[in-house]
Amino acid sequence: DKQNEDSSKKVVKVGPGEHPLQFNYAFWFSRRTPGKQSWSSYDQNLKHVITCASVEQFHHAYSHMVRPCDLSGHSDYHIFKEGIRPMWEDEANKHGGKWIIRLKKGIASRSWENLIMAMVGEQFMVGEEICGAVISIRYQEDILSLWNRTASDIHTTSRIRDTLKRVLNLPPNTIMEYKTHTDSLKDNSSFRNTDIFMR
Amino acid sequence: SPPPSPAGFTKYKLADYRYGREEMLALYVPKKEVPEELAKHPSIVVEQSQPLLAVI
Repeated sequence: DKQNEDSSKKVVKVGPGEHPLQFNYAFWFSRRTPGKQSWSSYDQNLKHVITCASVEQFHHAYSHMVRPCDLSGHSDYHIFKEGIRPMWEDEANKHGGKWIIRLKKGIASRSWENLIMAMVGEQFMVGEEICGAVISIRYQEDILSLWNRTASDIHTTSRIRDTLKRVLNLPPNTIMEYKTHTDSLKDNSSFRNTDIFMR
Repeated sequence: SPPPSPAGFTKYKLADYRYGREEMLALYVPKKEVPEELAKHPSIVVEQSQPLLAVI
């Protein structure tokens, strides 16, 4: 959609006295509409919300957004580096994959905050590997995902997993799953048929 | 001399702008107005800025 494209391409700058982020990050939002889902409906439901260039802009946007736990229905927040669309097919994502953590109902808001603050603050220390993060609000559980560029790079994905455990303060025996976007494209599913790892 | 870095440690260039949790929390200052771009999406807007959950 034209308006969506325009807003995601708007140039954002660090304001005077603000603390720059290493990368500009964009918030996106999607909510499933009733009826049969297809790729085109995913694309249409995906709305660019706002792009942030500094810690202050990030806080300003985040503090005025409905918390994930308070979202209704089948909704997702996405926060991705500027220029990367939160889609498997994007150039930055097509060889990538994601870590998946399933959360029991009630803890999504706090986990999301911890994850995105660590991400925009560059706490993962894997160079340019991180693409973005997603919180998916569902009926039975909520799902946190962290996307990276290179699914085949075990060293990088292990390092991301270890940092995730630390920043989310996950209890022992938390199941962590990894799924490549190539597999997601094949089975047209984000969270089924994953590779499972125990902490 | 310092011990050698563990394998792979030097693989990544360290970011110039890094903020730990405490720094992120310290830089939070509530702002009353809703950001202009966000205001175009009323279904996800909270009019009054919310404190970070980390400090509640």
